[in-house]
Amino acid sequence: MNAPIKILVVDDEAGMRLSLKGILTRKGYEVTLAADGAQALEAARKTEFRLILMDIKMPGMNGVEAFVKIKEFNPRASVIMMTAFASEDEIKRALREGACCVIHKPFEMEEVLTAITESISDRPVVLIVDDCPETRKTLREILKKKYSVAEAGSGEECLQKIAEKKFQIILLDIKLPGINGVETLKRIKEMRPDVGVMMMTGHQVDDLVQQAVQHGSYTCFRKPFEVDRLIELLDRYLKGEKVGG
Amino acid sequence: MTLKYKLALGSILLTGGGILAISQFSYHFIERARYSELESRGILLARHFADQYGEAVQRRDETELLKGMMRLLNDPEVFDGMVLELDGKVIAHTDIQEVGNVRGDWTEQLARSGKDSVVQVSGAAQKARMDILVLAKPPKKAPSAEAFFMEPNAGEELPGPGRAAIVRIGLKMQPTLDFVSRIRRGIMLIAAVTLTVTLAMSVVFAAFITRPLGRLMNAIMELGSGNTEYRVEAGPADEIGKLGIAFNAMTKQLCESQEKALRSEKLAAVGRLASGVGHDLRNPLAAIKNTVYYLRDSVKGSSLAEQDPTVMEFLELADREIQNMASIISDLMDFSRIPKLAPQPTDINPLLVEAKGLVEIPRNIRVVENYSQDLPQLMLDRGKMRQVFINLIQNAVQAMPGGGELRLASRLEDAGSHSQRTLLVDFEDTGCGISGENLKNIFEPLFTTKAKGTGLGLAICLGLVEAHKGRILVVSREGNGSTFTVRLSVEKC
Repeated sequence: MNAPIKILVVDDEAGMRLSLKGILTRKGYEVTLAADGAQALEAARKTEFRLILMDIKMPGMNGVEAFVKIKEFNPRASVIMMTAFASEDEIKRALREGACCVIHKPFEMEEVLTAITESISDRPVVLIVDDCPETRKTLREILKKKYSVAEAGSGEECLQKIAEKKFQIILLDIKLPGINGVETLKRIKEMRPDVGVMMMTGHQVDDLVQQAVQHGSYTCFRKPFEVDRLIELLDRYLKGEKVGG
Repeated sequence: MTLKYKLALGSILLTGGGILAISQFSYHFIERARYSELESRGILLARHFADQYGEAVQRRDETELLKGMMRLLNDPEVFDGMVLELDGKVIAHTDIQEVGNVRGDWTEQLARSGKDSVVQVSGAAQKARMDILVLAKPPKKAPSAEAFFMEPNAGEELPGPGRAAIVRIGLKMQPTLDFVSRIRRGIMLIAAVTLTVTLAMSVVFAAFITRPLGRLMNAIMELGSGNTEYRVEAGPADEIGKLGIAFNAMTKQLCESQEKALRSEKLAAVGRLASGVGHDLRNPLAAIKNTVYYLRDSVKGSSLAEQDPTVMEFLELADREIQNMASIISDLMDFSRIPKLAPQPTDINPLLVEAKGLVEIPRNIRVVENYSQDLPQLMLDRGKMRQVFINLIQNAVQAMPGGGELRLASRLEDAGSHSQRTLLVDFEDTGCGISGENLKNIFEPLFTTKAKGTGLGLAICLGLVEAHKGRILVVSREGNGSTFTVRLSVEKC
């Protein structure tokens, strides 16, 4: 049907390279191997990979640096970082640069395969953050046709989820228990600056809205909202347009 | 000079001085008293003679006086006696030959003194004597009753050559001196004995006081040379005893500090080892895991799998063992890191149920759940707290290899007036229990009573709970089962 999806596997351990190539090839992917950052760059220049599985700790250029460099000429590539014991800072940096997720060795292959499928998928993933289950359910119903939907009931849960996975859009309620909406927004932007965040609010909270915009919220809409308007906003964001109000 | 001898010397000097002073005083007092006594006796004798032989004295009746003198000699203490004119001429004398001589000694003093008696001591040893001179005045005639009323001292003088004379009696001082001598010797003996006894007692007493000090000194020297186990025996209930108690407390503290330091070092060493080893093991382990995955995937559903089901079983076994290794490595890594928490508002009961579901509980264990309703939410790192619950449930299950009952409970503690409420989660088993010996060690890293295992599980749990500012308590009796209770404070969200 389609040409096999091209995956680049980068790891300095031969065992990892071989085992991953074997499994992924069996699953139908076209796998290229690289043993370090330099080789990865070379390979990426020659081929446009959809997905790169990259080890963080490697001799010479480490995985995150290589990722940053590859992003320059191949911004669309999804990157999943692997690590045995990378430092907190390196992981945070990987997420900030836009890695889909960071997996820890030894990992469950099934989970990785799912992550790969999700990363490659064209379906944008939306995270709904609201402490009211009804609101979340409603939004899910609206969005599930076009988007993959995930939910979080609090700011903390939201932050946990984005550490594990990459979302294209986050719908964030301004009023949350625990860490409030604006604070969560700030931290999301610290962790993953490339994720689009839209604030939702049920009350008149103009100053909060101001703060939200200041901290990088794409837009803000009020509940109850018009379904069409919402979908339109999402579409526009994904297309890359700037929106006001 | 050691303290013992200083003390002894001090005591001796003080008591010795006292004894000497007392002896001296007593002796002096007794000597004085004895002399006074002799004196009084002498005066009495003389006066009595003067009264008795008053008339004879006036008449200068030598014969009579002589008789009286001789009678005086009956008294063993009397040396001699005489009656003298005022100028010293002997009228009568116990030694007849002296009559007519002049014995003027001390008669002048008598006259000059204006008193009517004088006492003189002279001579030495056997010749020591006390001479008492008494003025014998002419007796007054008893006044008539009338005259007495008019003038008390009136009285006619007797006719005749009424003239004053002197009665002089010599007393032997030898007996007195002997007596005093004996007293002195006696007192000196007593003093000497007392002094000797005091000497001995002082030394004993000083030793008695300083021996505990000596023991204490030994203890301190032992401590100085590194022996922190040494304890001083209980001493007397005084300052030295208290010093001993304080010393013991101090060494105990030192011991504990040393143990703590040792533990920290152990921990640090484990930490360093853990990071290094863990990291190095993860890559090869991941590669193996992937290969097993590939093999399972390939063999699944194949004819080989059908013919020999063991192939799949073994591949699954391999996967499980790999997982086992991975969790041991995780334990090591977790242990060496300070837990970084991502707290969220969490309900305890669902988390408990979740944890329970993730533990393989054999059929012979009955699970009793007793969760309070309406428990407040806590800010917890869900993953990590679940890990703690899983670990505690696993421990409970492992304590009951022959079956038993596992009780899980969640409740709020009655805080009474406290504004800070506490949520308690109990993990109770009816297993083999933990001995008192082991009880104090179970949270120590690397401590385990199992044949296998890193011994890090409870240490990690404790670390995680404490990172949440909570505590873990254990109640256990050997043979009776154990109850682990996780205490978490409820903060206003």
